[in-house]
Amino acid sequence: MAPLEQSLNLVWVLLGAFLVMFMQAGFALVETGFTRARNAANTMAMNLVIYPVGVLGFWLVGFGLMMGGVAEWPTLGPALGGAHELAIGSAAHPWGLVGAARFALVTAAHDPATLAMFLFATVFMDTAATIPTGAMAERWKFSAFLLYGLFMSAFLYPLYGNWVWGGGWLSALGVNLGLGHGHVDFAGSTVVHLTGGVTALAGTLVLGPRLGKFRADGTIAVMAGHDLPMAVLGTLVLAFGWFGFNAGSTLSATDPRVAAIAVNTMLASAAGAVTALLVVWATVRKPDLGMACNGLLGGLVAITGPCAFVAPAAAVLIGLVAGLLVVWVVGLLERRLRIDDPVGAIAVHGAAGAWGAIALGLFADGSSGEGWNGVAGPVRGLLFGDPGQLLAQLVGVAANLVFVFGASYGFFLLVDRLMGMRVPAEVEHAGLDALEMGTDAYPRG
Amino acid sequence: MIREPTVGERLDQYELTELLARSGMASIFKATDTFSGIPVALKIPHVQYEADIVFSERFRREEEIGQKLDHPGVVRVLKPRAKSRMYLAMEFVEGRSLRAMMSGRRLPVDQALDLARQVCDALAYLEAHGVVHRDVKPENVLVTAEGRAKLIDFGIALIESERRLTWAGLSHTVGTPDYMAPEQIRGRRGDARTDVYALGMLLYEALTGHLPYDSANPRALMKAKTSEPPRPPSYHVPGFDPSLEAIILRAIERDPRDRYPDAGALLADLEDPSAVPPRDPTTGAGGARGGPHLSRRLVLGLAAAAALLGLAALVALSARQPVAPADPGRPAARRR
Repeated sequence: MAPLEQSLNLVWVLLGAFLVMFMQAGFALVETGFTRARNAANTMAMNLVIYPVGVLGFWLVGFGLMMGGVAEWPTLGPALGGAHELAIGSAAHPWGLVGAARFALVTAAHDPATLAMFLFATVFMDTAATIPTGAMAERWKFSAFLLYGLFMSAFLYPLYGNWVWGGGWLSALGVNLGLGHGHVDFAGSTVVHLTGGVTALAGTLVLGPRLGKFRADGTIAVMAGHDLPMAVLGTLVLAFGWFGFNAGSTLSATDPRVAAIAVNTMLASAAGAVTALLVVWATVRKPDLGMACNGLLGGLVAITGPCAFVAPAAAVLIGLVAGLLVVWVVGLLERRLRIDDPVGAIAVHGAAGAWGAIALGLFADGSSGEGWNGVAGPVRGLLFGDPGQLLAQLVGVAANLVFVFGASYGFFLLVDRLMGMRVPAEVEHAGLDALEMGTDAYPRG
Repeated sequence: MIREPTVGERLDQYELTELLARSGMASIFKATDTFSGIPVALKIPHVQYEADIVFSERFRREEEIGQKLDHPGVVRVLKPRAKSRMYLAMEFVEGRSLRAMMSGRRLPVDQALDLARQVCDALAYLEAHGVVHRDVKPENVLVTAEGRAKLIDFGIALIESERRLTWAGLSHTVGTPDYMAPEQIRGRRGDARTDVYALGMLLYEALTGHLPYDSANPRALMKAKTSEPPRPPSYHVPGFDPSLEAIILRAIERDPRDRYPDAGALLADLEDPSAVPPRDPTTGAGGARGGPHLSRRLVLGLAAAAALLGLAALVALSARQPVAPADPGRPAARRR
């Protein structure tokens, strides 16, 4: 690879990472805008603190578990210092379980390619880690949240991430079993968003609904967010950062797919937003701004996995379905299942994330992905002649539901037993700002 | 059908003779025990609270706790032979509340100290029986003509081993947050140190005529109590005895771990205030601090040292790793 090309790619990866880092601001605004004023400082605090805690946990342990097994970065050059992946099975057909090198970046200390990849992987991890803070907002004990930050960044996210992106067993489904190219996730519909959404679901189940949300007489309280303009601004910040998320995931500035990826990202978000807006408008006779925000985000989540493999028209279709899915799942969770998710994170990241993975297995059109995960030929979905790819996508989603849900549910239960997950009722009534954080977001006089 | 009782009526073995007080939740009558002729006080809840589960549970517990106690500093709760409705029979105390005695002015130091010691002694007795009062305030201290202090109202008291009874829905009965300890404001159930805090506040108000925090807005007051240091008594009373000030400030420390561990320890200092060293104005620390702090600091220090050592080892290891080969074509490399 020419030195200039390698340098350009390095800059591209770093630029993408910088954009994705800014998504932390978007999440902070969306989640705080959608929650109540008395908990605004607490919600902001979780969004701020998950970033440094996650960075340190991922640096010390997580990155080694997730990417310790990767020997070479195709667009950035060889990785220095050796790689190791713990695997079972034969040497010819290994099933990778977890990486075991580059902990605390010691062996990568002077390796620009690995350091750039660390930065890029870290901001992706922090995106996943900040998703549950929205669904679990307004009742989560801050100390329990801190423990979660370490668990997510050091263990939970890196393990599933290794299986898809670090050379683990889900990426080997193609080579070992002939299922398409193995589980393919271009920028993280499953690795980032489904993981965040499923963890959020487990957390809300352990925490239970906010007090007064589901009344004894069967009615459901409306607990409106306190700052819709803040939520809208956050949504647009996220949509902006998402270009780094998806286009940056080529890890190459010289890859011509970059343009298609950016266009697909934009189209899916637009389709998701308009669909959600119109569906809610038609049913409740008012254009719901909050739902339009979540539809836009749902479209982005769904296109994240397939963005490099589908045509622009398919991106619109994927976004449209994601918009419908978000509206439907928000209602399903609240009205049927009585699960209280203040910001709609489970619907946006969980449901739309799973849909994104499946959509890749349907609409990947064979225009790109040559040799992906060591399997010859481009990535094709069911509609373009490869049913095995759809199967690999389904296996990846199922593995996420089983492993991420099981591990996070167990972790939250354990924390609940040991130190308690939830603030006392009095604190919840008065607001977490005054009593849990000892400060107000908006002091009065 | 149950209705509100009135003076002149008979309730079981008691004859109601006088309405002493009426609050939002109950009326207190003076009555005569027709068996013994002894005057008693009856606390009878208003009719609408009879059906309230949380209220009646609270009421039942107040009676249960009260009947277990026997101390000159605690109002005795009597056992009527038969009860036809919900009420509490107590010994009748001829006296007035400490609140009425203070009514905005200071008490003489000797009198205030004597009353504080008596309440402290009563609290130490309660603690020995595993009871936390949780609602110590001047309104709940009756003082007889002979100067004997008696603690009343075990409405939100707690037996250590018992399940917590939530009082979230009864917040208006908890009254002003003036005497609530910071941990109660934060929603904790409170322990012996919660009563120490309230007693410290009581002594503060008795000796200065003021409270360490004042705000008309209960929310702002609660915030101040949890986040700001209290005004020292000498702010209100110039020349306030520095030893007494040290005792009071230690009793009303915001962190329960910095307070007297129990009423007994506070009583020991109140018996001889002059033996207590004044507070060091530079550190704000008074007397000896508790042991847990040293070990806490030690653990934190050790953890910080371990983290630094670990990081140093990682830095040393990193320095031995290979450096990426510089590309000879790059200008920066050529210059070297």
